[in-house]
Amino acid sequence: MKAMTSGAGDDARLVRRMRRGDEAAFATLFAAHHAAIHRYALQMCGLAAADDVVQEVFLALLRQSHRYDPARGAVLTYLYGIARHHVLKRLPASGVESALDDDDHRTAVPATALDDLSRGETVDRVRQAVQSLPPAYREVVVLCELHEMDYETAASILECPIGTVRSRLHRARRLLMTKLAAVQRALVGESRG
Amino acid sequence: MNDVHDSERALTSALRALARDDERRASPEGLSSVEGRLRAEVRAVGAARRARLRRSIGLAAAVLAAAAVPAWRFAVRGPQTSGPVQPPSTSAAAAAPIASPPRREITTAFLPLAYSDVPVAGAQIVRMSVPRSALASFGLTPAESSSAQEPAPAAVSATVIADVVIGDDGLARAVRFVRAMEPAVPTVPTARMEQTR
Repeated sequence: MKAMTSGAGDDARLVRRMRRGDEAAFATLFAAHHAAIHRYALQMCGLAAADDVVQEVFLALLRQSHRYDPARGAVLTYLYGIARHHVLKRLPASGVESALDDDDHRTAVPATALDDLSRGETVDRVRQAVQSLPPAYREVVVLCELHEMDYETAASILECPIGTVRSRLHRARRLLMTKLAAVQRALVGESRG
Repeated sequence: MNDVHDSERALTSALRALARDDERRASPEGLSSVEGRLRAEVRAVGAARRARLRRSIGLAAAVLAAAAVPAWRFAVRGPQTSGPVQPPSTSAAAAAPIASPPRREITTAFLPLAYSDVPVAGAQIVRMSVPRSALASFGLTPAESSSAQEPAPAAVSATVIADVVIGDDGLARAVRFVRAMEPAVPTVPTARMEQTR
């Protein structure tokens, strides 16, 4: 999250210049932040919608930049907030709060299920597991784990208390381990069969 | 207990690996067309802003011209109706050109307009004439002439002078109203008055 904290004042100045139609200022902002927003959209709602989300986010920054208040956070945090709004519109009607009442996943997870993954051989399996999480859990994993965002920033983007971010992340990690353990068991079963 | 910690560490490590992999793969080729569309939008915003600024300046110039022409005509016509004034040759003081004393102004504080809360990097003040009724919309009462230094009621204009703060984006941020006070009438030598009659 270095980009979110460094050069925040510069970003605010660039936003002001962009509002006046300064194309170079826009290009600088776009170059600095589009990759993070694209990655977030990709991880939340897939490749098909990611490009559109990026376009919508920067259009909103251009057309409604007076809504951006530097005192309330960095430009990138603001962009994540807009991106989340557009991502949620693209998620299935079940909504972001779905499946929050799942069983408490306190089942013991064999460490061996993740040993292989930690060696980087099965990143795709982790990706699939993340994408299969309910949206409310997926977004905290994406922001806090994949984008390495601190809880406070994530809470401001998700518009919820920091405690909610903590508890959702905890449960999301338990869910992930359960899913990955199930995949591991299935693979072991296949190899024995 | 160690198994749980090991699992947590392994999951964290796996998620870091996924994050790094996603960053490596993040070369969105389709975004070049998105950037192109957005750049065109920025150019359109810039063109619209410049056009708005030109319109504002043009409007201000037109208003100023509309106010200046009657004032100029009044200034020119005045001496013609009273005839040329020949200063007496004997009076050195009267022979000296009479410098018009500087006009004094009374202004209100700057009053915020609809876009006053929109941040702006730079601004300029444009002086223009606005209908006298505009005072009422700010809760101000048009002042009546109350002293000998002010124009007589018959000469009170239907417009008042306003200084408008216009931001770089062409949006008006604040306005203040200006009341020009006529300078004190200089003492005219008696000899000169008699000569004109």
